[in-house]
Amino acid sequence: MTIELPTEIWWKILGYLPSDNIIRLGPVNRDFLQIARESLYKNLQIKDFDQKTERRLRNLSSLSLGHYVRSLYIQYAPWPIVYHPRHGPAKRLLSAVDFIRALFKVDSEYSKQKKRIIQLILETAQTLENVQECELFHDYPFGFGNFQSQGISSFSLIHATAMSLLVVAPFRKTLTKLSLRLPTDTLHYLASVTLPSLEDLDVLLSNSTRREFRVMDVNVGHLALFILGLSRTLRILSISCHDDSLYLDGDFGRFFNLLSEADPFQFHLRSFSFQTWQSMYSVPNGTFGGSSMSKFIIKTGHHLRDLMLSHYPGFPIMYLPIRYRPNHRCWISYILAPGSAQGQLTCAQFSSLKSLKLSGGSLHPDNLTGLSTLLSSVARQLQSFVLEYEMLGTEEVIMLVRALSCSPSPLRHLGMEVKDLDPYIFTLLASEFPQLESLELGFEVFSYASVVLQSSMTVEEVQSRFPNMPVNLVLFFVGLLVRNDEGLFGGAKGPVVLLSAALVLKAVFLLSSNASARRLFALA
Amino acid sequence: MKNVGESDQPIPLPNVSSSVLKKVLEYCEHHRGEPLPAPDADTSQDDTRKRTTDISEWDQKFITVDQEMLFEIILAANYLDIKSLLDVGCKTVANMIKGKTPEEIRKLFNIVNDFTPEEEVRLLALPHSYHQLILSFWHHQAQIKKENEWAEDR
Repeated sequence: MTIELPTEIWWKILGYLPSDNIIRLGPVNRDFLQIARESLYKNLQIKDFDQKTERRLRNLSSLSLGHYVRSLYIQYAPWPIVYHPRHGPAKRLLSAVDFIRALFKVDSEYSKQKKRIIQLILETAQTLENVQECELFHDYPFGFGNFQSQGISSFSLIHATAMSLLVVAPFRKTLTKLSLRLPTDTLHYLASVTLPSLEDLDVLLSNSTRREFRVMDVNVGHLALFILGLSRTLRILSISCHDDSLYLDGDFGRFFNLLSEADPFQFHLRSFSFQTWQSMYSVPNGTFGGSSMSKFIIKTGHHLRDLMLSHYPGFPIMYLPIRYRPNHRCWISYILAPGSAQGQLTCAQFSSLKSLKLSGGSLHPDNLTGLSTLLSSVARQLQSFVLEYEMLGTEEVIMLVRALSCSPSPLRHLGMEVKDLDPYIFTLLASEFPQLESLELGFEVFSYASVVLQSSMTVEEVQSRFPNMPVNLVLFFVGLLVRNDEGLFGGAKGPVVLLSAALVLKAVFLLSSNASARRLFALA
Repeated sequence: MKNVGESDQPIPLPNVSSSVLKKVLEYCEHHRGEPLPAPDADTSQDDTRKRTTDISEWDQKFITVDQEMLFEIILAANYLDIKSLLDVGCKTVANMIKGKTPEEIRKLFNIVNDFTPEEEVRLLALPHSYHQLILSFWHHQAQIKKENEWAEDR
């Protein structure tokens, strides 16, 4: 046989094999060796501080393979990470022993090895020149803070090492994408970091490692300084916060103030997303945080294509109907409110906006007006709109749909959560957005759903309302919760859960017999 | 070629023989009217890329040819930029590679071992080198194979 395949075809062929399979093929010839090495070192993941990692890092330095590494992922925790699969009871026991040793600061073989690996990481990092994506994942779950006072050996050392990579490693010049998961009390490490090519930054702030330590604005200031340093190249910014000790009104208010009052203001963000959890849910008596954020959003608005604002309130407040918490307004409310300090958000500020997602919390009637004004001003350009709010009544849906409608409508994706799957909603959506490619409708508590499902909305009816059925139609229940007549929620019990599930199945059955719904999903 | 539009002018195909072109046309005829694969599907080189080697029944039948023809189809598909056919060809070769030793692969595809003897020695001599592990793995596999064959002969 005389035909030979060119190297690029071999690359493609080996791409179909699992990576451990490719690695074994290294000894075939030089091309295969190169493919095997690239496949082995392209994504360098350091999760465990064990012998395997040590061997891998040593190979990387001794064979000078650093230039193969394109993405670097370091996950570190104050204890040996034990929850990824380790087979065999003996190994599991060993992991558990390691775990306990680390907790009690035993100067075990493990911690010695860990120190060696930290040294190795630092040395290896000097040879990594082509890393474009980096993720530093600080694994520090909620409630662990109390252990900190006992001291965890070499933990802060790892953290300092991981952060110092961003300062000393040569790849800081080539890095375009960075994901960080950090506890809020360690943000000061960021202040001295400069990354001249970074385009995409994703920061997840987890709980402070020290419970007694209320995070000070100083730390949020460090984060702001870091982001300001990136403002010229940054295109995608995503900030999520899990730390329930941070408040939008104080900490993040100052944070966004620092960003928006930068002089000169150099942000050209294409995408901005901000997510919060838990007690940031409410800003009972202040609007500072919301308004300083909207100042920032408006300033970056011209280039913004995607905007996502969401907050996921913690238990139990999310289950209280709005009338029981009149003072609890989500911070998004202050951005949407027509009377906010910045005035109404309109198309003038968002000339490039294509996708808008707002989720969590409750929508105040005032905000609904503000939101419809915003929507009607961007209706001619918006391709995707998702609103995950407290269930909308049919009138509210109509109001928003009217605001969004224009001819021809560019809208391709729509997501909403409604109280009642009113057949009229389908008619309305079909007539206003004939080009819709994907539709996600969440519907509430099954008392409403059952009414709908028992009512006469049959497949034929849905079909007749949607001559061009969206390619993706998703209907889903939002939470398996029951609302009684007083408007109070309670957790669902067994039979109720079963009943809800049965209803989901029924809904799926009804729609799956629809031939033109090419794909159908049901999420319960 | 779709950018060129319809034309009576002959399109030169110096690298594709008539028997291979016939096969390629057969493939295109069968898959006519199917939507083109997403353009970004093949450029993503990360691990999210589908590592599946599933091939549809018709394609499997179609690609059951001798190895020379298979390589020629791959080359033609690459030259004519027919992505789906190139995928089918590459997947077929990937399936052939699965579970084979480096030596077997060299023999099967007529690949020249271009390591110098010194390099091979060096690869072997490296402490903790993964090649050493790999070679010992294959050595072990070959041993098992031999033993099995011996047992079967008995």
